[in-house]
Amino acid sequence: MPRCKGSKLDLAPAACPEATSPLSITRDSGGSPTSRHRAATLTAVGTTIALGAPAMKYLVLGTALGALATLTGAVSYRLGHHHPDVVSQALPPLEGGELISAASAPKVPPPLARTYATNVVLDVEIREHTKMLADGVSYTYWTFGDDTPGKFLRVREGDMIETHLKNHPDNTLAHNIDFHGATGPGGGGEASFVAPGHATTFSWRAMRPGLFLYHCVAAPAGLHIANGMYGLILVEPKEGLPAVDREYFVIQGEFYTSGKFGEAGPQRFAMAKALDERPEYVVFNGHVGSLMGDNALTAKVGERVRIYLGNAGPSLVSSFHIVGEIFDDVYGEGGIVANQHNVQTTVIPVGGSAMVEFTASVPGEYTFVDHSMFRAFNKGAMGTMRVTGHGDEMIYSGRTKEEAYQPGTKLERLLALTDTTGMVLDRDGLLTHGAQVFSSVCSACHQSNAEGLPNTFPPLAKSDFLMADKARAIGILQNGLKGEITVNGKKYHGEMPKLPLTDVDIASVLSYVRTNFGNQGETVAVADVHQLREHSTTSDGAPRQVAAR
Amino acid sequence: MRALAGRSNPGPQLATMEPFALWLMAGATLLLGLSGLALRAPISASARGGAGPYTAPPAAAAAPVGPDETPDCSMPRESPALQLVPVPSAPFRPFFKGGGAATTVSAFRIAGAPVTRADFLSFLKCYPQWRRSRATAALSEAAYLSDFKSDLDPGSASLEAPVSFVSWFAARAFCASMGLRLPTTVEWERALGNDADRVGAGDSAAGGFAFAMGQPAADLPATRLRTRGVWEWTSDFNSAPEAAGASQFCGDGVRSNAPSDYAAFLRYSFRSSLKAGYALKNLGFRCARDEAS
Amino acid sequence: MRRRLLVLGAALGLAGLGLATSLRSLGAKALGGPARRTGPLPPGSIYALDSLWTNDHGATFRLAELAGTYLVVALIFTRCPSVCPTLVRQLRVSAQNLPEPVRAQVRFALFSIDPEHDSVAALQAYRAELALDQEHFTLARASADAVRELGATLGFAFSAEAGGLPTHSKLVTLLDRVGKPMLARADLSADPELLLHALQRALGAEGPS
Repeated sequence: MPRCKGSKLDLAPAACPEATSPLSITRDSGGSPTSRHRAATLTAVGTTIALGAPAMKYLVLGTALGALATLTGAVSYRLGHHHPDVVSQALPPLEGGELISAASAPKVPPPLARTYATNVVLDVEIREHTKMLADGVSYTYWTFGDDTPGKFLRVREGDMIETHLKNHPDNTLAHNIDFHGATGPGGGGEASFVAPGHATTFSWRAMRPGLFLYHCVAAPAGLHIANGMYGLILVEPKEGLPAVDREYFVIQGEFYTSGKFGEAGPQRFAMAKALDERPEYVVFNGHVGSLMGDNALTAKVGERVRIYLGNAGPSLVSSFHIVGEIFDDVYGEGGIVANQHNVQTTVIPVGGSAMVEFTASVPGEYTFVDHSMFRAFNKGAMGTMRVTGHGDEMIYSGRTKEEAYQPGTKLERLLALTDTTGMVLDRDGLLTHGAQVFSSVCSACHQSNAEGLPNTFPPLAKSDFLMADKARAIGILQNGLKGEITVNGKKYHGEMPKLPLTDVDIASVLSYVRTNFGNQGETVAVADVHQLREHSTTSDGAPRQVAAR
Repeated sequence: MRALAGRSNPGPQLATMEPFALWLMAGATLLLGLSGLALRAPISASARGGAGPYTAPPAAAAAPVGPDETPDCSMPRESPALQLVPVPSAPFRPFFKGGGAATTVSAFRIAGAPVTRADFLSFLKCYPQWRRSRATAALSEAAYLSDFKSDLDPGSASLEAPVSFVSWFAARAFCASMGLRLPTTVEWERALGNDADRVGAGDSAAGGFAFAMGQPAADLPATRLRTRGVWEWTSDFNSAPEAAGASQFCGDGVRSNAPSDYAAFLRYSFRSSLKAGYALKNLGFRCARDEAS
Repeated sequence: MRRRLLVLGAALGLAGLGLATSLRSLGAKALGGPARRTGPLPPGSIYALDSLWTNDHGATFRLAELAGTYLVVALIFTRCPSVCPTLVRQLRVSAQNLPEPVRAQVRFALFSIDPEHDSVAALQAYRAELALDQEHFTLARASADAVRELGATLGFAFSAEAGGLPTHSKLVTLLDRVGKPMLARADLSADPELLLHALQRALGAEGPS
């Protein structure tokens, strides 16, 4: 007799008669052989004990009564809870039917007026087609409907959503849909899996209110999501959400392209980047710039705005922030309770949502971002909200003054130069190191072409002042320089600070400058610099200590 | 019923009844009797496998029927789709089997390219039961050969393109008519499942999925063996339960860590969505045979 | 006198007709589906396949002979350690718990995906082991090609690797009277309500016969 226990292939061990306990009542009214045997045995034992030991009678009776009580309780529990209709009977009845309420990004359909649950019909066509990801960058999007993200759907708690999923015959892959608001295997994924040129239908009950993501979950799911198959569905609570003046939705998603961010032309999906969770694009509402410029969100001063947020991932958690705004209320993780107030940045988990509300109070342009900064500025996770109306200086003044600032103090800065210990100080070594010192230190003022800035920093290129006196040049680099000088016929009044350069640094950079930028000179030996340091004074007369190098 | 008909008339005796009344009673009895006959409704199928009430129309033959009487019936043997490439035996393990032992795929021969529309048109000329107007609806869905304008008019698309909108049954029949068969999934993957995480030029007809539709294995001649931007039927496309149903959606069935596996992922996932009667735009086939000569 | 006989005869005739009609419909319900049908089969109908099957009594038949009732189809194998026995027991319980008028309209067919091992004798033993009644349950085997074709038509995946036990997806399919798949679910066997409701809806849609 094959056994049911133990194998992990067995999904429903409870259905195996051998595993049936007397407490699992089925309508197989004869009772399974096992339970009958058990009853018979118990009766026999009980009778024997009762007859054999008069005093035991009470013990047996007590046990029997207790067992009966337990049995009764268990039976009523099973009868009460095992009946599959109990859960759905607690939901409101469905009245009539209508097409689902939906809107394209970034708009949200208006709050539902009806006060009853109904059968809503949702028709979705899946398309695989080329769309623009960014300027000049095209990509094959897989979309619910016409574009990524899919439409924002709005239903009411208790509604039955009859979903017709259609896979366009020109598509190449099989797809499906998983509603995070649905309770059932795969959120509908298993029921809706459909080959191109076919359609599937299934229904699910919106038993819980909240803001839920929907997405394709065909294997490999990360690929289908990363190619654009996602959207949001709001299940309004029975009593509705608090009224606001404006509603928008924003879904964050990633694209893993074979080319780098911004690389023009048709791009392909790069699986290696996806496995490493390193997207090239992190965007709002499916495309770079979808919420900027002419597509910016708008609001007026004094309006209460709600933004429904989603994060399709597939990899990165979002830290959503509106620069210059505070969220009065946050419905964390897309629930229907405003569980936090006065929040600067809220997390949108991957495969999750959040709702934020705020009152626009100061006019201007507001950037909103995923606060992981390099995604915002370098991968596209940025949008704009434009608020119009009258400002209030008592809330935010804007810039009121600008002036110069010269405190007269100096800042010590460590210069990141190569450690020259053990360096070979031949001509090549000096010139190589000199080039590095030049670009790290000198070019900040004297510019990378050594031509300086007129009236501010003297040139080092073809510099008569520099080339005239080697010792003087060394001294300047060791001690700094104050006072007026004339270089190539022009006067300069600035001050060159004393730089923390080693003798090797000085010899190297001087060698480099004197043999480049049109200067006809020769290299400077480290020994020369050493010698000068030992015997020099600062340009304002203070003695110098010999620096041990 | 019989009791009713036999109940004696409490009134006058039969012998003294008028003929009219007798005729009336006879008529009534006859009616009752006939109704009783009609009651004998057909017996539904029992465990003995008895005949059901359904008269099934003749199923399309799995084995080829002889050439049509049409004079122009020829199967061009030199068609590229019928040029078979030998594939030596080799170990093979589907990507979702992880670290398990590989099975050996015995040597076989496979066509160098998918069957073309020209090939299939020749087949239709010879085997009229597979033409669009005659094919059994139950075995090939409504989209069967929907790119054909009529039974033998292939429409404006190129005849050299791979045939698509063909069901598994039609593909099997074609190969059988050549004395060939469809390759098994394992044979197909062994010969053409050489994926790499590389971006190929892509056949525009496949919408950029050409890379997922297979490349010849490293030990096979790429000049003679190629894919052409369509998925391909196999004889046992429904032989990977690990990649079917709920197991493929975040289940315990299909996982991979290698970027090069995701092309195979797409192929197995796509196969799991198919049923034998489907006729899809991007699904064609090629034939194969055993190596034993 | 003549008139009385006339009236009596007419009354008898009418009563007979009425009785015959009502009894016929009752009889039809008790004995099986509506009258003979012919015509094209719907897409995906397994009754269009011409494979030859052998049941556990050794009799051969074609799939079309199963048409006429609603049919619950499962592909199993007798060596299956746990999934198949569980599934089959659930189907048996489902069958037993269907109300009589509904049960009369449905049959269950179990086809083996392991024909090398599942001989007629093995199927017979399986029937006895799982106590499947003769009237409602068909057990059958055919060639490997035939069962591959059947699975392919239903979208049921199974492997038949040499030397090991077959693996298969969990799928039970409910077909209508002409073989059109109405419901194909992994949990069709596990949830008896599902089967009952589907059958009640379908029978209701047929109208009174």
